[in-house]
Amino acid sequence: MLSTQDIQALWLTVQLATLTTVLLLLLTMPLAWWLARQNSRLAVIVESIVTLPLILPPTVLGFYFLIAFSPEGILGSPWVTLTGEPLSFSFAGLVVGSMIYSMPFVVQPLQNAFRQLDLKYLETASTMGAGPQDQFFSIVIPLCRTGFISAATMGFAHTVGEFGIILMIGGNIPGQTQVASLVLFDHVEALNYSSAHLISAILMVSSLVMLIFINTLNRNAMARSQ
Amino acid sequence: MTLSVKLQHSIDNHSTASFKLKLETSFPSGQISALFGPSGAGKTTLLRCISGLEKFPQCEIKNHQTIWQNQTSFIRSHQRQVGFVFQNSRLFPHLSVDENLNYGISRAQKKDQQSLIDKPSACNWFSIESLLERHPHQLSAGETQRVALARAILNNPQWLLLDEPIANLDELSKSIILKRLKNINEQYGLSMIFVSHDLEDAAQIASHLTLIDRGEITTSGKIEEVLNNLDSGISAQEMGSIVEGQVQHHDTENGLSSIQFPGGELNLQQISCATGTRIKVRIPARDVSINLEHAQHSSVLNIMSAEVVEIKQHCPANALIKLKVGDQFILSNITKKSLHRLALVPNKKVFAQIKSVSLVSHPNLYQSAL
Repeated sequence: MLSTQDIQALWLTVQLATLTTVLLLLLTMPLAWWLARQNSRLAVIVESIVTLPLILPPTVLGFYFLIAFSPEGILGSPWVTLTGEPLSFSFAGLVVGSMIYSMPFVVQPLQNAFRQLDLKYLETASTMGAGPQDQFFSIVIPLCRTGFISAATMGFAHTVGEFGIILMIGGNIPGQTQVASLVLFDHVEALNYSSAHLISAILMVSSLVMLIFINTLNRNAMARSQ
Repeated sequence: MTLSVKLQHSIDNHSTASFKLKLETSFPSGQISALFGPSGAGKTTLLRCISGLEKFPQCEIKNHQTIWQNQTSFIRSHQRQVGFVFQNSRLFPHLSVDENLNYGISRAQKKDQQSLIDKPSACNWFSIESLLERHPHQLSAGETQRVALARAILNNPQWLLLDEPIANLDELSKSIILKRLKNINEQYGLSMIFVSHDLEDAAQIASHLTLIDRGEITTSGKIEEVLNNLDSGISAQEMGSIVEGQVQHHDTENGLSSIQFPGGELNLQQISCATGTRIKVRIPARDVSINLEHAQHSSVLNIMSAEVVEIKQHCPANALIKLKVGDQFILSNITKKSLHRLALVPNKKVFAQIKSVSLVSHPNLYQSAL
């Protein structure tokens, strides 16, 4: 059976992944649009920085975050001024770290979708009196639907699977920063294999379901465009 | 009431030739203006500037009293009250035909006025009632273009810009659409600018003609005047005049109708409209030959006396002759050899033999023609 701590950790994971995904979708949309439409050298550099977390050991990122999040760090000190709370070893810190870590998984599907979007539809909408905001909701979102859904799912799934960074910047505090992957690690260390099995199975099945969902979606989209 | 444009721009394409636009022109409102010129003349670019899809720094556009663009201000496309129908319809692929139409209706541009035309009538005009549930990818090219036109018209623009909307269609779809556009202009007074590289299409519906070549306006004015101008720059192959007359009688036995105009009578394939109706016909210059005597034994039905007004030798072998018949003009394209053999000079009396006459426009005809 799952203990209260396990359930707490799973629930925290869902909260973290949801918040990270929503914030990433909102904040990286302009970036993805810009990357999709730019061919400059600057765009190549920005794109590389965005995709860096894909290949960097999570502990490297974790180490830099640890320094930046400290009350004297470049992110930690303004955070303390603004909220009065430290950023390190807090849920907010996990959200910021996860956003950087999962950014490529959200930006890339969006960027691909925006690149494939034919601008002529936006022109047409504009000649019919649709302003930029109207065009975004009535044309961009529906036509890039698959891109948005895969960005959200990939961002969510990847945040759930996070371990190294969270271990370094979160501090493994139950109820605050202890997510599923960390509680699993604790169970294994304590040789509590039955609980470890249960949590692993939950994570594996849910991840598989999400991937099946995305792949079905992409195949359908491809079939439609042919 | 006009839409006036002043535009200067050069596009430097690093690889190929650069493209220069330098023009100043205006389009009368309430009419169909045709913008005619060869491919690459700048027709589409001009339309894109008018619609606000292109923003060139040296461009001034004024719609009646409203400045759309000048040195300091630029009204964006969605605030200009223009409709644009593109060569490839650009229906929104994620919406059904009905939803595409609604997209236009819910964003109707002249909100202060009653819509020009309501949805059931628009569907009826363009015969798309049965297509409403379909999606754009399930439509033929002709159907797609009819839906795009209905959508643009339901959007209630002040100016409807048509960028070769019929270029990729078969002859039947073409003529249906042209007639519908003419109809709508005549019933609702919707101003249109119709871009075409086919003068025949343009002459079918337009009352104002602007000729554009290599980024410059060569001629612009009432279509009859432009077409009768030997220096307009239209190629001799496409030259032709428009003659207006009154339907005199129908000869059902021979399948002919005759129209009367001061100076003569023209026979053409029978058309269905009441006698007395005023109609316009187009006579291509290449189908008019000149005789010094009235040919008695000829298969050509339309022979009328005319007077040479102007002669223009335009290429090594051919000459264009402008003839006056009554109060109207007919153009004839003949060889230079014939010109010398017949010793044609201005004021000389001759006979014009007209091999083909095609109907240009009359609103009442369309219902029966379809």
